[in-house]
Amino acid sequence: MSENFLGIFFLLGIIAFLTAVFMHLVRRSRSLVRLYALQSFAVSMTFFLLGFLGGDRSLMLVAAAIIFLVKVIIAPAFFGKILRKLSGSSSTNNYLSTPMTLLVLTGLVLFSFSKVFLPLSAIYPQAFVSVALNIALVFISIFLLINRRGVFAQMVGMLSLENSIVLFAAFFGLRHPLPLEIGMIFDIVIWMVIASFFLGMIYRQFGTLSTADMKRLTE
Amino acid sequence: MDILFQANAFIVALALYAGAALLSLFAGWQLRDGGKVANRVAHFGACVASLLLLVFSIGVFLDGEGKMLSFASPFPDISFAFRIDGLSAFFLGLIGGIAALASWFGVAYQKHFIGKYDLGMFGFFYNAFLLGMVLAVSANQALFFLFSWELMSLASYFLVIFDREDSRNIRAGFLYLLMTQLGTVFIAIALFLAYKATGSFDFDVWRATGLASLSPVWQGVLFGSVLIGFGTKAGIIPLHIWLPEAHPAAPSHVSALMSGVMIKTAIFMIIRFFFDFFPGAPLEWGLVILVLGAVSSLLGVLYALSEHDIKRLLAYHSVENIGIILLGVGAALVFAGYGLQDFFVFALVAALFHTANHAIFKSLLFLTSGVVVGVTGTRNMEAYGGLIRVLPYSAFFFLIGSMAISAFPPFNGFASEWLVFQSLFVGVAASSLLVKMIFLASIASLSFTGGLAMACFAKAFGITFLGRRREEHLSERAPEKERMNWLVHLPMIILATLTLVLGIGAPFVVSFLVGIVASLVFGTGGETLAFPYLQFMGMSENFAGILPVHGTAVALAVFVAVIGAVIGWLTRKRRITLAPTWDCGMPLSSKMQITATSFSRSLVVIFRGILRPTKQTDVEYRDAETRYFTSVHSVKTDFFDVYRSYVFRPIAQALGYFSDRVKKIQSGNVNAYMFYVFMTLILLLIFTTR
Repeated sequence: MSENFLGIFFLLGIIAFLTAVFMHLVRRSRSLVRLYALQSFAVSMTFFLLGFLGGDRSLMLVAAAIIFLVKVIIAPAFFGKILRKLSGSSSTNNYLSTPMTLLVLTGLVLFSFSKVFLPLSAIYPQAFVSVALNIALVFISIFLLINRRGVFAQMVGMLSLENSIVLFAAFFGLRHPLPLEIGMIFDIVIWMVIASFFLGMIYRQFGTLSTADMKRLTE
Repeated sequence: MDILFQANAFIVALALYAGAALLSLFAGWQLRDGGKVANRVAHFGACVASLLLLVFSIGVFLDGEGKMLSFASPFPDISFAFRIDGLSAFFLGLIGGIAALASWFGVAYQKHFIGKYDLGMFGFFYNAFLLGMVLAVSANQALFFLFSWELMSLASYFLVIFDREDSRNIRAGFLYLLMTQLGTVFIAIALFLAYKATGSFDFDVWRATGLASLSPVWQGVLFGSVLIGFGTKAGIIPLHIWLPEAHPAAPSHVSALMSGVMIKTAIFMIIRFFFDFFPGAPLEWGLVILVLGAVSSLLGVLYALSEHDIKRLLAYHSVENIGIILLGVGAALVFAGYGLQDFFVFALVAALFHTANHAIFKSLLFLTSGVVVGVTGTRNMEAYGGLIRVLPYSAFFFLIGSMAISAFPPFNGFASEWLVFQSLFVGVAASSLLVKMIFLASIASLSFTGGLAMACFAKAFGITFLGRRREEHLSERAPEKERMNWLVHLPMIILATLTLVLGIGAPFVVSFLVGIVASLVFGTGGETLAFPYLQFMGMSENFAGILPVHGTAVALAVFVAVIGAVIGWLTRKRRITLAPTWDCGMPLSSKMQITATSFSRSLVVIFRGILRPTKQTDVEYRDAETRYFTSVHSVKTDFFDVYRSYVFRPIAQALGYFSDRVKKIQSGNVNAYMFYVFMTLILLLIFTTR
């Protein structure tokens, strides 16, 4: 893989990473969806480039096309429709304040670059920064699930986590065969439908989508 | 016949158990006959499979070659590997023999449950239980063994709660499940520690590399885990509390299997771990086992003595006999530590011999007590009395079993206990004062145990079968005198004969067992049993004769026979006159005869410091105000449960307290749960890449 292409992959990784960071900072759910679409676009582009450069060109290109179709077009449109229905609760807060959130994100990025993950650099010795960046992306996505109060934000966080894992696997040659990739995408579509359905049920039951107000679920 | 000696026979036996389980379930489900067919399918199927297993294990010994089998498994880290060496074949034979007889008995015994409970389901769990036991003693891979062990434990739980109309049985089953799962936790720890030492779950690798590479601290943890894990199943005090609850709750032939063979699978694994996987185990481990054995044997028989529930009494005797077996195992470990191979072999042989003997006489006693409980409808011995007139055959077999368990010569119990005694006497010659004292205490404990067991069975037999009938309504339940029924009595006849045969033929049995132990320990790899054990028999000169089969004994027997014949001839014309007992003119009543409580009272008083008896009296008056004339005077005696009060209840309370504190993290907030998951992930990452 030439230096130029490495640079492009790095750039796409940076885009995915920054979208995850901004997901923590934005308040409006619509912005979250846009950021998710952008992140998914970066993932599909990574697949496209890998397909273009690799031997099994057609399969990766098909996977890139499916990812683009489902995650960049269908999913945001689907979420947009839900948000129009639940217009009253489309804005959510974090548990931590913005400075604290940024502090934790910095800590997670530092941890991703720490020696704990040095053994992973063996996967791709020339691009340890990209490895660390991908790991940071995984952590930041998980942290989104922890930090956001809104159920909708958590759904997007889960999808961002899935994006980060797919990106990690694709970039470092751990890619799945096409049927598996298609199966995962199909899985995500089904998951989105079911999650949306439950979202509606939760909203009808509690009158809110804030997880902070749903503490009585255990009783 | 050769085919029976091949590994195929073993596989066919396993398939038969599985087939009988499924067929019986199907029959119980499909046929509307109250479970008649399911009952027969389950028990006859199990009987045939067990007989095949018995023949197969005999074949292994005749063949002189162990069997190794392995099948691929679809699960990672699990292989269905079997190894039937001398030790396995011995236990397989024991399981096969006892299970065949118990299953034969079960056909008739379970009839009174027809139409009451689902006998198809019973048959399923019964065969699954037997299958689990067989797999547990033949598995050659740790995870496969764990699976087999759990199969055995869970299936037996369902057998314990089979008679579910009695809420006591449900409680007993719950306690059994709780304790058995506690044991499984420790067994899993032991297995994973062995994996840590060897990097493999394969028992053959454990044998080849040994477990000595563990640090001394981890070795200690391994020892503790093996002892607690398998000790819970074996019923070592203080882990025995499930045993007197669960054994009586199960149907009698299941009790015979649980007490006779299931708890021995734990002994099998203790021997495997300490002699096969960990040769050269520290001497101190042997001392700990000796102490536990001494305590279990003495306390077991004391608790049995204070019991009036016939099946609980027998269950406590299992604790006692496991203690005796452990005395042999502990002594063997100590001798191995000292490098005294001759004595080590004999001590382990004593343990194995007593294992077999206990399986035989305890099964006999449980089967006969099953008949008694079936006829009287109660397990309370205070309600029995005079049953010898109704149940003459059962009384006779119970007497044989009682004499065997009380170590009367020439029955088998005497032979093995005598061998254990001799092993312990050797230990007294040890140079260390501590070792000497522990052996002395063990000898004292075993002496007490023997005497108390005799007293206990004098009570059990006397109160149950002799004297007058105490509860008149019991006569209605058993209007007819017991007739010879081959389904019921054939297993008893065989077991009673075996108690005598193994007692008289003890020297031959011992030489056979020496071969097993030698093949296990002295580097024949377990694959061949052709060990020159006759050389080892040369050391028998160090011991007293196990049983008097020598010339002097024969002379003694002839002398006794001649004296008997002379007395018989001289008194041949004397007439026997039956007359009522003189009781000062009062009408004879069953209330005049000694009860089980009063029989054991003096011994209970002597050991009251250990047994902690409690007494609660209650008086009701006819005239409540003046209180001159009593209408009812009741006395309730019980025993303070030391183990529940001082061991298990504090643990349960501590667990409850800890759980209450831990519950606070269960906030109901999904973000908090994600946080826990995330922190766990981070910590695991740090831990694994450390």
